[in-house]
Amino acid sequence: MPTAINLEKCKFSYSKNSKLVINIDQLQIDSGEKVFLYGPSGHGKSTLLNLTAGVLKADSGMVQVLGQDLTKMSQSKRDHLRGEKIGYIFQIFNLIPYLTVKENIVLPCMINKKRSDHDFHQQAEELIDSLGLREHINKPVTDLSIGQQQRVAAARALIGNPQMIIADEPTSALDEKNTREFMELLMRVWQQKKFTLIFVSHDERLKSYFERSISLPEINHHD
Amino acid sequence: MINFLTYKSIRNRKFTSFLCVLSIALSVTLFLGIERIRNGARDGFTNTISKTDLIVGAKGGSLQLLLYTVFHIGGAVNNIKMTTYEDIKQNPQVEWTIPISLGDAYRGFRVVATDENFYAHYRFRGDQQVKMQEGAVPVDTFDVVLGSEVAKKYKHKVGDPIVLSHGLSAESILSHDNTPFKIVGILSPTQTPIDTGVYITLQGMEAMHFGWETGVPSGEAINPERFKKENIQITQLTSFMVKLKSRIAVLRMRRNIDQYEAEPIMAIIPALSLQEMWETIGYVEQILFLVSLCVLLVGVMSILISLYTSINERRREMAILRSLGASSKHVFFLLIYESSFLVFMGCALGVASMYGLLYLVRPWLEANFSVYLPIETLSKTEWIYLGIIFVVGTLAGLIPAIKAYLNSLQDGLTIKL
Repeated sequence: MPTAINLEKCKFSYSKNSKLVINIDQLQIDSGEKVFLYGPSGHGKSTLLNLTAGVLKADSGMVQVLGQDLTKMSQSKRDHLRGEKIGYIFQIFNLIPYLTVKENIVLPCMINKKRSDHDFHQQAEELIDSLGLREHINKPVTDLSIGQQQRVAAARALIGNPQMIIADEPTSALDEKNTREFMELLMRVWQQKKFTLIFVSHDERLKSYFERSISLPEINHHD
Repeated sequence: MINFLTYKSIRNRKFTSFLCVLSIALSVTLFLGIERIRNGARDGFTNTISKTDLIVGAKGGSLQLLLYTVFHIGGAVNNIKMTTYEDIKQNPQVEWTIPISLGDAYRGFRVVATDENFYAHYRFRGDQQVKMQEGAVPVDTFDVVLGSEVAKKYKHKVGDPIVLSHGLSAESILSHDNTPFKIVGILSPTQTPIDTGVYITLQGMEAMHFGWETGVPSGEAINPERFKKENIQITQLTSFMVKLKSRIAVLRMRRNIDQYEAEPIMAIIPALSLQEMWETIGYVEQILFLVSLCVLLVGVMSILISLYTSINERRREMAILRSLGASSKHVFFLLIYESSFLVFMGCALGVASMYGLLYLVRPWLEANFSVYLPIETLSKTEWIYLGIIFVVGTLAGLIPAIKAYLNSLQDGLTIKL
């Protein structure tokens, strides 16, 4: 099975003389795997996500994402890779406040032409239906509840069938009921599409939804 | 993508964006408007007289000669002999001449004695000619034609008799009441000093001074035969205008006149003298220009302020765009696009309101300040100004754009709450 993420001897610090924020010997995630990444704050969680999404570049070692070594790519190539093949969900405020639900969902396809090989408007409609957002399609996103907003964010991450989805604490702002609903929805979609899912959270209770769990404090030997 | 986001983002901040556009528009209106009025005033001034190559008068100040001949301001110290005029008129290089004789007034307005050449050849503002609003040009000794302003002020009509006064002051003690004139025509408005003149024939000027040889009226009755046009001998003039057949000859002709032996006379080139005169009084326009430039600067600053203050609240938005595959450059151009869009709208609105305003104030400016403002399409210079405003306004977005760019580099995919 091909690997989705392969980190080897990856080191990163924000400036030359400051302490190492990331120091990971080995991290491998297979394609199509769903992984729970346990990351309490202060263990380089955001930095690791920025590295794998290609926003930051490792100082040394290898960061291979979807078959490409990010450390050997230019910033714009990495931006393209992210736009084209990775879906990203934030913990809260995922949406551009001045766009409607549908406009938010199709935004990745507008930024990156290669994101969708067929009509993304139709794809957006399908996602809207399958995530139960039909009645909100043309509403401004600020009219939606937090739970609904996270569903829109999921739809946006899913459009164009990205090979990998990174979810950065997507449920931390949700209550228990909404969290359960969101997790069930995410699992259902994963079951259908089999993308690589990296789910980052400090809430260990969510571990049960996943096949594999990685603890960031255990693999990251930062200073 | 950037167009779409820019449009949506500006719509989201409708009110501040609108204020921004408004302040740009106001400064563009003011700037272009002042430019137009400035140019209009200068053109109006320097084109008070055109086509005339030389103005000839008694030796003295060249400015003085210009002022009394063209603007009806001040007076000549000496007159020139008719023989001198005839001599120069006979010069084969001369195309036409307009004789001018000054010295009297009608209720404060100058009386200008001239001949039919004035109505045929005098030109102002390019190729505009003196036209009759009603009536005809003066032919008989006691015929008079009024400038439009004179006629308007005293509500005179063709056929009214008027009495001219001796000397130039408005409250003259001595008047030519034994030689009343009859209004035979009224000139069309020109927005030049012509409007404030009272025009008679050279013979009329001579005739009303019969019996005044001592400087005051003698009181003796004058034989009516003497008032007949053909019996009146013109002996002197105040100045005259000359048009040469070829412009190349102007400088030589001027030198010849300055060195004229029979009488001390001088010649000026009106276009040149007007230009010189405008430059001495034109510092006001420089100040106006500077003021409008400052206003423009304030308008451009408003873009900077409005975008810069929005940056922090838009940090999240930028991180989201980054997560969707936008580069930091995208973020940078998003803000540059916003500033250029705002300044573009400002320019467009500004130009539109400039024309609107021009349309409104035009009649008033023409009537009160002799500033002639044709409503023309944007000139090349104005396009250049607009281009510069657009570039500078867009560049005002540079500072917020750089800030946003640095923020997005620093934040990456981390959302700052």
